Amino acid sequence: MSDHNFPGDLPADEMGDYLRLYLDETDEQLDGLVETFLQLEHDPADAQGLNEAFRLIHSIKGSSALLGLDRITSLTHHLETHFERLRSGHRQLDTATINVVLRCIDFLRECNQLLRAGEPLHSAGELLDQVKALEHEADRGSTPRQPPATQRSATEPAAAPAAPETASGAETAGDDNGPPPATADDNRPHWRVGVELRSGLPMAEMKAELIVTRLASLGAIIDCQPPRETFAETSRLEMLEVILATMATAADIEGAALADGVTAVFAEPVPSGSRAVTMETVAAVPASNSDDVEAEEHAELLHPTVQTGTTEAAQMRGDSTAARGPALVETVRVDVDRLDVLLNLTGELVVNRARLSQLANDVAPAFQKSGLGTNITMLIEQTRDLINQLATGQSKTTSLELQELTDLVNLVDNQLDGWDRNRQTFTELSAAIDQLTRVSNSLQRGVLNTRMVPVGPLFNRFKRSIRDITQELDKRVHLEIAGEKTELDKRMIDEIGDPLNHLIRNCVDHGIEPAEIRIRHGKPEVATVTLSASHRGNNVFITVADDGGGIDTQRVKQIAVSRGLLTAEAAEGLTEHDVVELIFQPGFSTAAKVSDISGRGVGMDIVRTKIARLNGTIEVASTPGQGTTFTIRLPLTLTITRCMLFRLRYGVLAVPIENVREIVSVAGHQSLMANGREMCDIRGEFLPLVSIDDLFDYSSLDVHATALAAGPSSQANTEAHVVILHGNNRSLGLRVDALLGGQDLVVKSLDENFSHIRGLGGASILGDGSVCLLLDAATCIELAGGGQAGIATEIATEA
Amino acid sequence: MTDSPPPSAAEKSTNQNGGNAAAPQFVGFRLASQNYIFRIERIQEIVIPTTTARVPEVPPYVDGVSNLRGTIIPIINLRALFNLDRKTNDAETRTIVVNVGARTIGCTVDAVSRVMRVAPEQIQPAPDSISTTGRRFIEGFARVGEELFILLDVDQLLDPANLDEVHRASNQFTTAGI
Repeated sequence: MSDHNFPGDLPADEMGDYLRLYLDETDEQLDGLVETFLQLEHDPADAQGLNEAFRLIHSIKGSSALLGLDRITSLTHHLETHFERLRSGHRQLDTATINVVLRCIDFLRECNQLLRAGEPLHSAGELLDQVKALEHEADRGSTPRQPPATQRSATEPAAAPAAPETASGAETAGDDNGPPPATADDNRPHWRVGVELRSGLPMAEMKAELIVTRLASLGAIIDCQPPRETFAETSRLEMLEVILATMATAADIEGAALADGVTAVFAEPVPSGSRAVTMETVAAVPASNSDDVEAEEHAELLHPTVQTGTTEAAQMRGDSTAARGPALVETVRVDVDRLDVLLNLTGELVVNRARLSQLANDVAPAFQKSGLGTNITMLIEQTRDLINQLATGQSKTTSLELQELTDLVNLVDNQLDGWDRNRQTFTELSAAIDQLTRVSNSLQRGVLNTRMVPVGPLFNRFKRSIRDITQELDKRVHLEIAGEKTELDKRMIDEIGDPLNHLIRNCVDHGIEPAEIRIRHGKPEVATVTLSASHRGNNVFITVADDGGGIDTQRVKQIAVSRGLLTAEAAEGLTEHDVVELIFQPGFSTAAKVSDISGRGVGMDIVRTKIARLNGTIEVASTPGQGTTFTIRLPLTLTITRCMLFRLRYGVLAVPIENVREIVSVAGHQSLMANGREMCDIRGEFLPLVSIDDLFDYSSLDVHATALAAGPSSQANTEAHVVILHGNNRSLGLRVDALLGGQDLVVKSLDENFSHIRGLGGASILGDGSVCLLLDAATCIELAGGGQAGIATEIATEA
Repeated sequence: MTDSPPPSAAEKSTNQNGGNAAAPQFVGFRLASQNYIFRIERIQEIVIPTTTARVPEVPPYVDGVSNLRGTIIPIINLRALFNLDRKTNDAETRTIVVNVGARTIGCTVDAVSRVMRVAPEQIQPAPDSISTTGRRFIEGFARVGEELFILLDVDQLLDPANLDEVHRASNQFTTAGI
């Protein structure tokens, strides 16, 4: 972070905090910008959209200036100037401008990445020239259709309440190619900004000067007390009062005024009867909304830095839906790493709780009334009877011993009472454990919920991708989005972006036919790609569907054979479904020519690998002439998975329940050999049957040899339990020694401290504290070799 | 679970070294008949071995993975790593948990003898009889009283990337200096 020239009056660590805040904020703002521009592309004159774009650009400019990111500031500054013109009706938004702006957004995104990585920013030189060129064109452009002031009042009511905006002030536009309309200044709301400086602050006049300059960058300084020129002469400079005409929010203003040595800052709007236009717009706002703005401003006064992001975000949401709820949900930005730690701790709590429950269950028989207690009571009664019998025919010599025996029995009885009290304590303990179970389960759900974010923003990002690809390929595609409110773990959202992007590009590139073919087939010329998400059970399903030509199975076969993925004979034996599956093979690509978009042949298998790493699956269905649908199934969270546990001679293993198709018992006569491989007949379907040793090499060690010999051998079992694993549309029977049932497991990575092992999806800690390994079903099936596709051919050739 | 050596052992060793309280501390442990030391600051903790889950597709010197208070750590059998005969765990067997880079790794040893202070001048560089490979992992030899300790460089020795190399050069660690 030291590469950047941050203003010297902020300590470096504080700067880091601001930078993080800035990055989070601008990421959201850039998303908002793209969204806005895609809307503007349809309706270039949309005043609200233009205002929104202007506001977002301004906001980025403001915060980048605060951080001293000059390159970003200067680029956004010029963009802002240009948009001021668009907004005021000086000029119409055209495709050329949108293209330049989108390139700028890309540049800003890249800047954010570089800042995150702590690398120096690239120069925006070329882009800056392009933006400046737009401005020049604007200067030569037609005269405004309407006087600026009138236009402003027409556009203002919609956007002003939700998002107070800023125009680029004449002061900061000194390096501009054309000054913005001078009339704009007068229309901006006036703010009274008070800045208290620590008394006896060294170089107070310099700091004051700096603060006023920063405030000036937000708008126009109407008045300053004491006057700027007299700073140096003022002996005790402790209070500054500035009247500022700006569209910036209270938080922006306070942010600009806050510097080292400043003890307090306040910014309050100045109501001014003389500024009729502004008053009109305020009056046009529904009362509840202006209350909201006020409430926000109060919140911002209290927490200038923390609140900025949330209110901005809230405004963005509010603006984009154009309907704001009366109450604002308060949010806190939290580092995802912290949530990870919390989730891991919760996971451990759940595991420990499970262990406690298990221990209580183990102890329970000892405290059952019908068990030990009753038995001892009975024994005591019997002993007493015996003593009584003996006492009736006693001689003098035995009476003492009998008395002793009676005392002993009474002692045992007392002990039993004690045990009974303990039993009650144990009942209470059980109740407490039950309570703990409820609490820890709620906590787990709660922690998981904090990580859940809607897929909407991710989905909306693809509108941009679609726009780019369609322009490049000259295809007309409409992206339809459904289920954007579906929530998914934040980490998952971060990971799924790339695979989805690839799928969408693939749909447009390979799936959708050229327009003339579509028309010939009686399809609408504009194709539709549908991106939807839904939540079912413990899974989230994301589908990417197109209404294109579907997958050409003949062509797929041809290519697979030509690429050497399988033999021509093998290809003939495949079902349609198996053929479609071939597209996930490494090195497969159906694109006739390698385009910039897809067709590098690394796509689909990487997509599948990435999704598998998230414990998800991807399946494809295709109807010739009607389109292709990719369905991605993802678990709700990355870490907690419902698993099926079973025992093998090497220990306990687990597999996610989604990957278990069924559990069967295969008697000797139900399995048969085909091509030297053992197969089992599951209701007429032949599946390969393997034992764990066929999949993995457990290095044979002397120390374990005895344990192995003692353990039951799965091969000897005539009636073996077989777990049918299912993944990537293939199935495999795995012999197991014993089934242990289902359990929620906190899946931990093996890679973290160790290394990745192909076929294993991670490890988990069981209730008794031991470690169990998790199988990655899809990879295991691959390890077993062949799978259904291979087997089907073998069966075919056998027959 | 943590099995810290009794303080008396540490004191005794301090006395042996002439009471040099400022000298760096080392943890001594034993494999077969050879004594070794690790720098104490490289060690996270010493635990009594718990159950280890076997893991497939790993080199023979990896016993498997264990649960260390919720973290899953690999367990490396130092005897196996140094090509010594394996030995079933007994009351003296300990797992030394170390941090190598960002990873936490456990390694089992026959016994942890004591914590000792060794003055830098008591540590000699590895003799010429040790190969270049060996020298990457052996920081030096320390003579404490009548005993000779091999000072192993934890970071190098237990770095997962180096394990195979260590395994191949194992004779350097067991016969060195004897």
